[in-house]
Amino acid sequence: MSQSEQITVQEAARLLGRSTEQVRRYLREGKLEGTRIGGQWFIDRKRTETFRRDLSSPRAFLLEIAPARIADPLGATIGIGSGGRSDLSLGQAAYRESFRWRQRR
Amino acid sequence: MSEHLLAAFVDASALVALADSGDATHAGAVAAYEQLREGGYRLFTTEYAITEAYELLRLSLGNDLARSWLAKLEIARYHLDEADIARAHHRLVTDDRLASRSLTDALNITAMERLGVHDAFAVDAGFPVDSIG
Repeated sequence: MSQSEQITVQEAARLLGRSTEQVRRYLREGKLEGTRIGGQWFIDRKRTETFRRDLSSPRAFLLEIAPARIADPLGATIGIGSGGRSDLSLGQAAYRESFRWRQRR
Repeated sequence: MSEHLLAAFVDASALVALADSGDATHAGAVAAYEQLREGGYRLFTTEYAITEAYELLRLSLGNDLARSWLAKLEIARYHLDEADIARAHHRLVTDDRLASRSLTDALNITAMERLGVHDAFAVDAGFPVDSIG
């Protein structure tokens, strides 16, 4: 981390034009990096300014996504079933072909 | 964009490979997913990729499991706007690298370009990640 000034959630909220609740959510979900000391968040000012610029860019969408390490967005779908013999590395057409018998039923 | 932000597009082939434990790519896909998680990536996809994956899973796993998969899917979706879609159509008819690819691929590549994302999670070797401008 750089040696930039550390600011509080209240100051970050002012900088970002967001509520303090929203800033705490960003921190909890890992969207904005901060350090928690004695129950209080401290955030690098330069990082907060970069985050503010990003929020107004087309890529703001990405900032609203929690890192997969935290969100595990596909975890509940892993191994949900077994189709049988197939190999997706050969392409989707080959995958479809593996199950063509099912289409004919 | 912050230099700390890592993001990857998840293609339909990866969505299916994770779900279908009978596919030859399943174990590799699970390992890759864990690497992306450990690496701090943010993952997203599009409704086009989800539609494609859903249709494949209906075929391989059947309607009930495909529906269950859809219900459990929590990944972020990027919604292309009219300009994105027009650009994807234009790319598909003018870019020879996409000549053999689907409209879905063109739409997904356009989403990646719009977001400035260069990493894709796909198990289909044909995913045209080299077409991203």
